[in-house]
Amino acid sequence: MALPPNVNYAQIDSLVVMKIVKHVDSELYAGMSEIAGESCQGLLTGLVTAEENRLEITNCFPTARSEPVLDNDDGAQQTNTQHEELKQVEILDMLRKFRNMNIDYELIGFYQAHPFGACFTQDLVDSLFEYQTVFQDGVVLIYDPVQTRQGQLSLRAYRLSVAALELCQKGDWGPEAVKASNLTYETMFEELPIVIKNSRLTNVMIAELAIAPGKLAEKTSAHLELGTKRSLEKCVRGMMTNIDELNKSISAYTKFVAEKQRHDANVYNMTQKRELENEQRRQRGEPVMSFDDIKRLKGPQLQTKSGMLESFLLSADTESLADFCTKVTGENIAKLFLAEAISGSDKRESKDRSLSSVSGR
Amino acid sequence: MASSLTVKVHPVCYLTIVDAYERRSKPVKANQPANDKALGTLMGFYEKGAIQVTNCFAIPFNENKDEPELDDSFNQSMIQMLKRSCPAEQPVGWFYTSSDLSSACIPYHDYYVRVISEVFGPRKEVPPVVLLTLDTTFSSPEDKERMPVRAYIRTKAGIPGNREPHCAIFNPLRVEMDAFPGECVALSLIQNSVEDKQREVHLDSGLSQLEKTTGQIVEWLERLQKYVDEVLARDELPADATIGRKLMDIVQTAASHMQQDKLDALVKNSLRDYMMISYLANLTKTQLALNERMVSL
Repeated sequence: MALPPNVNYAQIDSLVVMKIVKHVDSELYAGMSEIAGESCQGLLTGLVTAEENRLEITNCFPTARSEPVLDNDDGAQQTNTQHEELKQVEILDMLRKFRNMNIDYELIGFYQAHPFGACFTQDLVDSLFEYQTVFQDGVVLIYDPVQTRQGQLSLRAYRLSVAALELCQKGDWGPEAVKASNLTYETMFEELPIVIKNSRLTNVMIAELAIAPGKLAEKTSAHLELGTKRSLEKCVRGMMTNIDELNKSISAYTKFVAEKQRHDANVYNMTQKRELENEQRRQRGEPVMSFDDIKRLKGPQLQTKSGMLESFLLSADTESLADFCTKVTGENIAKLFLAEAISGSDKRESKDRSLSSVSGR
Repeated sequence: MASSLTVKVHPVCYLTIVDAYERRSKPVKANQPANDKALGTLMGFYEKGAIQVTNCFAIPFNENKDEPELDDSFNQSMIQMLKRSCPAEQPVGWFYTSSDLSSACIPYHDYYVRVISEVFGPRKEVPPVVLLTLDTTFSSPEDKERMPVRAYIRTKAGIPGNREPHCAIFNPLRVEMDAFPGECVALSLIQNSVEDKQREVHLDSGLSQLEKTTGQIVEWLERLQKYVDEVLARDELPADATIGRKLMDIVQTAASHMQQDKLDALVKNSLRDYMMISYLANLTKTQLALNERMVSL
């Protein structure tokens, strides 16, 4: 049985927020994420305050990205496993170092960066399951670099719900099992509310930074930018491919339902027939025939790789993309009206600096 | 030459240093003085005329004995590990939470010069090694509330004519804060915690951020207007030329970027697109909800 988690919100140190943002940003700066095509990720450490149902994430560190395997010969598999082992050793080593420096060294989850927050993949479910079985309050932090670049920090904490955990444990994502556990794509992941907390000394530091010389003020008006079409385009494209995939899995499901109905009717007819036959046999005093062969008839299988899980993940992904779209379009429409209103009244037009300087970009 | 360098420190370093200082080790024995400081390696890269410090980590050290000690193997393996996750970074110096430069700084600095020259190989000239100090003691006489950050570079000094330099001086460098675009956004959100009693921040969502900034813009404009009115109305107030030029700049950008026809075209073109996308997204969500109901029937 999967243990129910005993936290209901995540408290993140501002250090962790900055470290995640920095990790992703410096990869973007170096142009690495485009080449490797893989999301940045790392591990989170912290502690659980059980009395207050709080998960405190106090530090994190990036994991080395896996080396791209160039050739597909026999050695590749071996180097891959070797690489995995090396990675494990490194993680343990890092945790030991954290312990040495009085940092919380309990592994409580991991973070990943996904554009538009569309993070729901088979891998994510697998690793979440792994973390949550070892540590019942494990979470994943999803950071959205696109939305952050548009001026709004986006971090979400997710975990698998108890029902989903149990299904993972059984490894059975067939339609019957999913229906029995009452799981839908909306209840598969639970989102935890996030609070960012600073220590007192950090607050002093941040206040110090606010008055430090630098170009911070010029860069903080990113959320007023009027042109965010490129990212929207990408988002809609992603949505389209997702929908196509979803269509496939839905049609597979419909096919399955039809076959299932036919199968059920078939079984029902045969049982009826057999019962009639048995009735006659009993009257004639002959031995009755068993129902075993009918019971042994195999039902249809859902023709997808991992049962209902696939369509759940696609739905969740599509929903987060759609959420992003509605949010950004809503904001953009508001911004356009704002810009119109500003240019409309002559009095303010000449002075509005931050809006006017960004609209020209 | 060297003193024209600027040290550009990213906010994550400051936060790491503060965190390292807060987690400094307690004294092992009762009568032993505490290791009341934090020390560690700065990672980053060199630019023309500047040193970018993008990351850092603390290392164990001990300066209670006669000879100050550092954990070299800890440092080396941390550098290796960070390099694997972020290949562009290399050690550029070290940090120390101290109000002044003590004599212990010299062996530490020697050590870091050695570490960095190993990275560059024996033949090349060793790039400048930075020492960044953060004064966490709040003891500076003129400004008790501040937590000053200073950066130094060591230069050799001596009497001309002598072959061997007599001594070394830690020369101060200019420190600036630099940040990637994403970091700026995150930092400006975190800065809200300064005004919060619980020192907590909740993530902004949707239009609330837009609303807040619009309010801010209006506030600034009103302040500007008040200032201009006051200067115009009262003769005894001096008219500041730099502010006047800045105001002129604002007017200029507004006039060149906010032309009526341009804006009209923008609104006309974009609005329809946005409406369409918003409609499609909502349609998708409806479909998803429908599918959900169908499956769970």
